Amino acid sequence: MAEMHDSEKLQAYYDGELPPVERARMQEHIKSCADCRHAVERWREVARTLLEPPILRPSDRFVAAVMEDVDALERPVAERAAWLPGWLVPSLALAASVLIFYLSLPSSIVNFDSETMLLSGDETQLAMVLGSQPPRPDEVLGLALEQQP
Amino acid sequence: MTSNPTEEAEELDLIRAAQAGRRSAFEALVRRHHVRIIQLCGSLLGNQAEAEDAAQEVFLKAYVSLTRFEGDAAFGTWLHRIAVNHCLDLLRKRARRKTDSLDELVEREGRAIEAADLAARLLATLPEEQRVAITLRETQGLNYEEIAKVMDCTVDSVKGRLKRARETLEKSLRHFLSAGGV
Repeated sequence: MAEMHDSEKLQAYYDGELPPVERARMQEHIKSCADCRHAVERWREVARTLLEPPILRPSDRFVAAVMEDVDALERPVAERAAWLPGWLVPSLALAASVLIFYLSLPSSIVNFDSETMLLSGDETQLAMVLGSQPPRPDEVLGLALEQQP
Repeated sequence: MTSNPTEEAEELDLIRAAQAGRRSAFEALVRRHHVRIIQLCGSLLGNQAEAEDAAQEVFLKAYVSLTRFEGDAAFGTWLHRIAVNHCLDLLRKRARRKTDSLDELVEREGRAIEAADLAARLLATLPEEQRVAITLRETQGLNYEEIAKVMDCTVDSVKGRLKRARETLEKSLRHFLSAGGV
């Protein structure tokens, strides 16, 4: 009876996965096979030392705490925001409106790179960089014009 | 996991009611499964203090995705899957923080190292899929088919993972004992 060393079957026996007839056959084999017997004993030892299920007594409040979380999820957003400090609500609203305004600007205005704005040739953008009125060409080119014969 | 047909039918009614928005039905489901889920989180995290917090988050995730549960697996299996994924996320975050190796710990604390600490550290040396498989088998008592459903793999993969996990743990335990621990 000691010829059987099918480790997969032995593991299935240990894990209680064999059908009754095979289980009985394996039990008989183990009685006469020291290798298989020791393998099963080692697995038991590992499980006992390292894999004992933790003895946990959940707190009495556990279920209630989960249901509080669930209720908080179901509450309307406005009600959920009620825990925020009073001063924070208008500040957040202001920050949000500034952000929305910024995002709604055309990308050409949002781009504050003065070099790009100067080169764009657009009067509005020139005014933003140089002042309220765009300079006349002779103001910009004054020096060059003066040097002309 | 749910074992007899009456319990299964009862549970299915609770699930349908909870999906329809009945709060008390979801509460009843939490009551049925919370002990096992807390234990699973405790085993996977190797830290009992974190187990309840993690389990609480698991149930909240389950509540949020409840409408997506279609009953192709048992509700308990589905919850186990959520718990495993959640705990693995927590473990990955924790892994970024450096901890002492087992040898350093033995050198520093000698025989004073606690069995629970030893178990947590040896289990942490296993690849994730082996760790989950052996935990589901040994601490939760799931059979091969249930483990395969939780881990979304074949029964043959489960057998292979359990075999490799046992071999590694056996070697680690022997190494630890010969180094003078516990």
